[in-house]
Amino acid sequence: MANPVIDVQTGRVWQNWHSSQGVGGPVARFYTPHNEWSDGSTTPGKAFAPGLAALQSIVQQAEQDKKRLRALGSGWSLSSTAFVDDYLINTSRLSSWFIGFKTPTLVDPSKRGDSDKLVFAQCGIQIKNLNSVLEAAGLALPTSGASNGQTIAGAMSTGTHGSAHDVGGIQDYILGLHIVAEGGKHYWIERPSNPTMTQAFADWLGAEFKRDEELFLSALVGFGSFGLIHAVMFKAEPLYLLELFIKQFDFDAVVNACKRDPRNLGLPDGDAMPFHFEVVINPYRRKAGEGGAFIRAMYKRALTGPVPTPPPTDGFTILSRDLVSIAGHFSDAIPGAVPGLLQSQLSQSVRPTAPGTIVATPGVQFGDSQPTNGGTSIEIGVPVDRALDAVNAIFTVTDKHTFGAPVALRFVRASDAILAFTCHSPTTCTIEMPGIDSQSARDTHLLIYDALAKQNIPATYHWGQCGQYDNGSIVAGYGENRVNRWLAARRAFLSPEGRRMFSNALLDGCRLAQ
Amino acid sequence: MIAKAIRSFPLWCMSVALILLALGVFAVGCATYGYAARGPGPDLNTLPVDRMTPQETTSWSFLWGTVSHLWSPLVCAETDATGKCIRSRDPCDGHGGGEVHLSLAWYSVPLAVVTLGTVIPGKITVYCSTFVLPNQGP
Repeated sequence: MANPVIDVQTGRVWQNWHSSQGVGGPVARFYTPHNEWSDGSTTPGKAFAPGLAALQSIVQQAEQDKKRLRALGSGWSLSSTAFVDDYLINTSRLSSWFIGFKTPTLVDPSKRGDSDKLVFAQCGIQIKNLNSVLEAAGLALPTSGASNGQTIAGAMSTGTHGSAHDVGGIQDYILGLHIVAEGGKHYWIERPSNPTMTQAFADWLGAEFKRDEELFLSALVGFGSFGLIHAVMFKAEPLYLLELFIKQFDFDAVVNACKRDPRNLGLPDGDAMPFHFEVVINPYRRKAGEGGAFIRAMYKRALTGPVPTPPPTDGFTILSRDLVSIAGHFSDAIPGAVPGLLQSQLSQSVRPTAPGTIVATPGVQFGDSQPTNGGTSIEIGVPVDRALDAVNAIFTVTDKHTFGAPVALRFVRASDAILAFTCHSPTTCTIEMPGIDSQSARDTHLLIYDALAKQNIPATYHWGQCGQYDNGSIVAGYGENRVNRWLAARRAFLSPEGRRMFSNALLDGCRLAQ
Repeated sequence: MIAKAIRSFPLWCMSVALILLALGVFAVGCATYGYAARGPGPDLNTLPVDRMTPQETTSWSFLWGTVSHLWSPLVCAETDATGKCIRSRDPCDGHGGGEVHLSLAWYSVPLAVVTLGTVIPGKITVYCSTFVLPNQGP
């Protein structure tokens, strides 16, 4: 019988996409599985089968060798969440997927009406692949991150989000998880409170069927700790357009906006809350007349005519609206120059627009971005009613320690995922500070964590960005109950050996590995 | 007159100039140029690629570009008991390249200078596209 194709590199040094300092390093084995059998064949009707078999065999090998194991998405994380120095898996080639079901009995009766919109996506498929094909089919992702190169499993596992405040993050529209765990055994996991598939579907996969609320909500943002996520299921929605509007203000005019209040800003739809609402502040330009604040809003619009395409380009202009992309563009070597450089960079990346001029599909609005070449970013989740306190705490630090990063606030519906950093109910304010990676920046990050703690602001950190990853901070941010629920679900699902295998140094530091 | 000017130049200045020139020549070796293919509409974004396993080679151009070779690799998919390859496969799984970078090797410019442009190596890096259309669901 043919084996799945798996490329293996030994002794390779792995770096993340942004080439961040301190992320990655030498790896004992670097696996790249493919959706292909070694005799060149594929499995009719199950293009994912060789890739699934490859993940199973890699897990069995890691068990035999008593090694730790982790799967990478696109390697976009700015933290070491995805990294382990034993066995690392590149999932990029596992990008098989399908839309819709022909056999009604595979789908739970409650979802059969939407079975043509159900998407089964293998772990390595990138958001941009989903966007382009779904949009051509008149469908769309409910939300995404600010860019499109993440894999669906990587983005979900780290709690990646946009600012679709009624939708939540990517994990919040995932309906089912297909996980390869100990012994290479695989499971189809979903919520009993939101059933999607049936035992017949699990049988078709060859997986064990598990409807387990705590396991699902723990593994959803599990950053690789519950096994290898082979695939996910979600429901696409009818294609919509997003109208972008950006306006520049003085900081005083956006103080209420920092509390998720869109009133009196002169937005295109008046005081109505936009689909996407974001406040970007230059912390060093807060005086009247300095124009150091920007509101970026997006309104969901119905598609009434042909689907618009992006405007022609000379090919050298990447229409990125991902703030992290600006991180590597300037230096804090001359602190006095930072405020002006930051303002100039923001004026380019969040350039004010006229209403109704930039209307595009989600795939265009959240399009391509560039690596930061050594940039970094922190992103902090706080309850929305503490957002202004958090911003002021950050300003107490930035007023004394200049470092090159804007303060960007977005608002996300609280996630049900137990360790999603957007867990603060009813709405989490996410505060992102993308900038250059320097000793000064790292020192300032620590001061910001301290300033938030002194104000007793419950702060959680985006698993895919830099943050305060230690047990004290995790318990303070998520609360003991959430942490214990997550640990209990993991202990019920994996043996001690399994928990060790699917852990890494970051989990050890957070005391989440046990 | 030029020779006289050089002779009158202090030795340390000459050394510094030569070091700077050498550094400049070698630094050119970092020069990189790239192309990213785009996927289908409506969003027309660049294709998803596998950035972690690039296909790389150093390609040589001879006689001012009149002699060069197209590069299109195959890798071994299966070997027999003796280790001999019995089946090849496309390293990009049949999806083609999604992004191509061309960079000069650190020795490209010095070699070009020494050989008067008759031998110039360049490093080609191809990131395989991972773009796939959806299959038919069960």
